[in-house]
Amino acid sequence: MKKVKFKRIDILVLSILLIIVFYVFYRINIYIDYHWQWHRVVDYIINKDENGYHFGLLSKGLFYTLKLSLWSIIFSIILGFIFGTFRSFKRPFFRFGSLVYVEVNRNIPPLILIFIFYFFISDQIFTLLEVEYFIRNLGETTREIISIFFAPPNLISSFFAGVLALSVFESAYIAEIVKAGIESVDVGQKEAAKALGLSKYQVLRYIIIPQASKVIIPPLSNQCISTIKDSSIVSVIAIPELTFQGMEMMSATYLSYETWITVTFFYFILTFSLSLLNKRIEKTYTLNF
Amino acid sequence: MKKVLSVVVVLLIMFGASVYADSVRESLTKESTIEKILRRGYIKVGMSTFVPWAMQDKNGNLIGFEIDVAKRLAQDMGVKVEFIPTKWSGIIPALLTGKYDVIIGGMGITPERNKKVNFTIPYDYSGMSIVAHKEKAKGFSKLEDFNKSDVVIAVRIGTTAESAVKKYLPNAKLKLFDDESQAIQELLTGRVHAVVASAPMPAFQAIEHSDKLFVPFKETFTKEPIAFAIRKGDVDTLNYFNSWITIVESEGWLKERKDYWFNSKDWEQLLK
Repeated sequence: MKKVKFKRIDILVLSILLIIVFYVFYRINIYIDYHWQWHRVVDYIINKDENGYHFGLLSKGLFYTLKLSLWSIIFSIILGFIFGTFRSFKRPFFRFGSLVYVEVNRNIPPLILIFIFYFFISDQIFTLLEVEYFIRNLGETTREIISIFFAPPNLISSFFAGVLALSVFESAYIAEIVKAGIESVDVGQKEAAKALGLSKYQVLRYIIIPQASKVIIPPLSNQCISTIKDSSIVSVIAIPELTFQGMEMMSATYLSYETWITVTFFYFILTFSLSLLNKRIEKTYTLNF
Repeated sequence: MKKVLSVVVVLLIMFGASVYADSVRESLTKESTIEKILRRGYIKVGMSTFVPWAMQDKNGNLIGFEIDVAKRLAQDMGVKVEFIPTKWSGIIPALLTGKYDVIIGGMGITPERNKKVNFTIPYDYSGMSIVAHKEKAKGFSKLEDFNKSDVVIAVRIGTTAESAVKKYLPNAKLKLFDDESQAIQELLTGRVHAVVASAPMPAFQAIEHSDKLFVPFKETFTKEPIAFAIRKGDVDTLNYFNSWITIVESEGWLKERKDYWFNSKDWEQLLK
């Protein structure tokens, strides 16, 4: 780790930034004469009654955002790797298939994708498959587990629609990242591996992927952080995640500033801790190769 | 002989028609939403946050006038109730695509909405009232004062407040917001002259921010019937809900609940 040295210019920039922050708060206080009521926000995070402590509206929203992002990241990485590797195949079916997938999904705004999935997939297909009834008819414990990891039965179809839309959208970007990673591996490596008698799968598994990973991992972790931020769009289909709960809280309490400052802080905690985790992964990964 | 034959033919047709009518009636009843609700044992209710009709308390539990109505309805039907919070702008499309059985969300009957859904008889009446900025709307005391081209009014998009302003204050400029709290925030910063919304919200806001806001006139300037909305063409369900509303109305239960949510503020500590 290099030692950080503050120069005069850094101090100047930092102080200007601080002044701006204070000025904004000053304006809010003076110009719109805002009555801050931070003590009311605390109850929406955690509160206590005769039965003990309860998580508030916002904490529950944070939990949903976590679940939503986690599943979306997992599925988008799987889809992204599949379509990304397809791009490097010689067969036109795979090449063009994945090209169409990536281009279509990259060129549709995520909000529209969510509406398509919400009104088409979850209304037509899930209803046809009777997903909701299936889940309701499961045993008590199974239903409980599904509620914890995904969502309760009444929200399950919106939840899946949201996760699918996000995964599909993000996977288009991941596919590009994976493709670039694979292309970054020198052709000679592949030829050498072939000459050694390795099969196509083995070349991919032992030669290309490990070398491509170094190129893939930094932008991939960036994409994961984007997924958390993008997950706020699913609030439009009323999944009770952080942004939706923020809006609910604002409608009920009219505490606009406090609500959104808190919600911003929650998102920051999520994305910042993920980027710290990513830094560690990057470090260990580059050391191993 | 010919006569006898024609009589037989007519009788056969009549018999056939009545059998057909019976089977149509039977299938209509079977496919009605009410039958489906009873069979599956829970009713799905679509709603959107509107203080004090429906809102989430600090723990995320739903409370409000509509919530009480829906809970009592479910109790009387002998089923469980499930609420599906929805954004107001998408509440009718989501009903039509079957996300829930009924909208119980303080929805005012309008001819425009009635083209897409069926309404029950009203179980509540609401009206538009106004809350204004003390300095910007200084001296304004009647509705006509707001009907000027330099007056800006904020409302929640897609609500009957929007159409009420267009109808009663055609000269005023409209500013549309997704949420009422955003409209109030705009008013507090003094960027608009007034907010129009269903009573009692404007009065509540004037009390809350008594240093900045005021109510120019007490009475509401519209009277709007509020009803349940269901998918079109389901007479059986419509009849069931209508009868239920008649019963709880005559019991005085609706009025009692309305007084609690609209004329008292006992519930406020649930939000604080």
